[in-house]
Amino acid sequence: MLKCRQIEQLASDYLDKDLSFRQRMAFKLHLFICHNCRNYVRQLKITITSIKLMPANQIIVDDKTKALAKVLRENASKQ
Amino acid sequence: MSDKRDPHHFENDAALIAAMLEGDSTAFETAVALYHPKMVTIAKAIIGEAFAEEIAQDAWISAIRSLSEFAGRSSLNTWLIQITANAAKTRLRREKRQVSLDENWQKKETDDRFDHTGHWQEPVSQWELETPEAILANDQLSDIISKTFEQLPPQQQAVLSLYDLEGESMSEICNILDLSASNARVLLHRARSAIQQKIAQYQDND
Repeated sequence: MLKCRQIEQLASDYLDKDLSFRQRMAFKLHLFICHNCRNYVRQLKITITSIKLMPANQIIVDDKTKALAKVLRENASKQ
Repeated sequence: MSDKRDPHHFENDAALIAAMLEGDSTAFETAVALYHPKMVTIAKAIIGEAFAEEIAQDAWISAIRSLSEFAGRSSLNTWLIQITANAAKTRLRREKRQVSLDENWQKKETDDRFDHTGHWQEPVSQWELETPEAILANDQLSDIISKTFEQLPPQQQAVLSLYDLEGESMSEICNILDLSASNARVLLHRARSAIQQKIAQYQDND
């Protein structure tokens, strides 16, 4: 029987479908009887989707960016 | 002085590259703003903080040199990451040094979320904000996710970025970062778990 600590360690593999059939069954059996782990796996799943959906609405062009861009542009024009 | 720009100012890689080849300064600034932070993250993950910025800049110089030959077989992002990874690995070999990156990450840590029998110390509650949309709509939480991501150890940040943000396969990530599959998966889980714990802290205190 898997312990809660092991469920925590295997949770990403479970959500990424990277567990063997046997591990997956053991994982599901634990979730069936443990509401803490059910909540944890749900939290992790929401976290992963939130990370994936992090908006890339804007980019920051600061002085450092401009300086490197300038060097690269000058470098390109010499070719 | 810094200003915020639309990352989609150039419709696609081809448009961005064409503008760069014409010497358009906005194109160079957009490319650097879009890709330089990612390149530094990859370099840090391979060789560590000290050389990362220099490696990323050298990678840019190589990339610009062969930009006109870039055939678009991969995305510009993937191409730049590969050039950076190769430059970092070459430098690592030249330096002949063992770089200690995520200190002790392989060491089995004690996790105080669990008791000595391996059960949760505290009950794990259901979150009040329990959809990704609701989480990202909360400015404080959105900020917490970004800040936690930026503070992750370099290897964790690189693996999370490549897997969850760029959608790279695990085998490609292992290849880019010179990691075994099991190490890469541990790093990925630690990174996600760090962010989950910060969100949980916020939701539990709210």
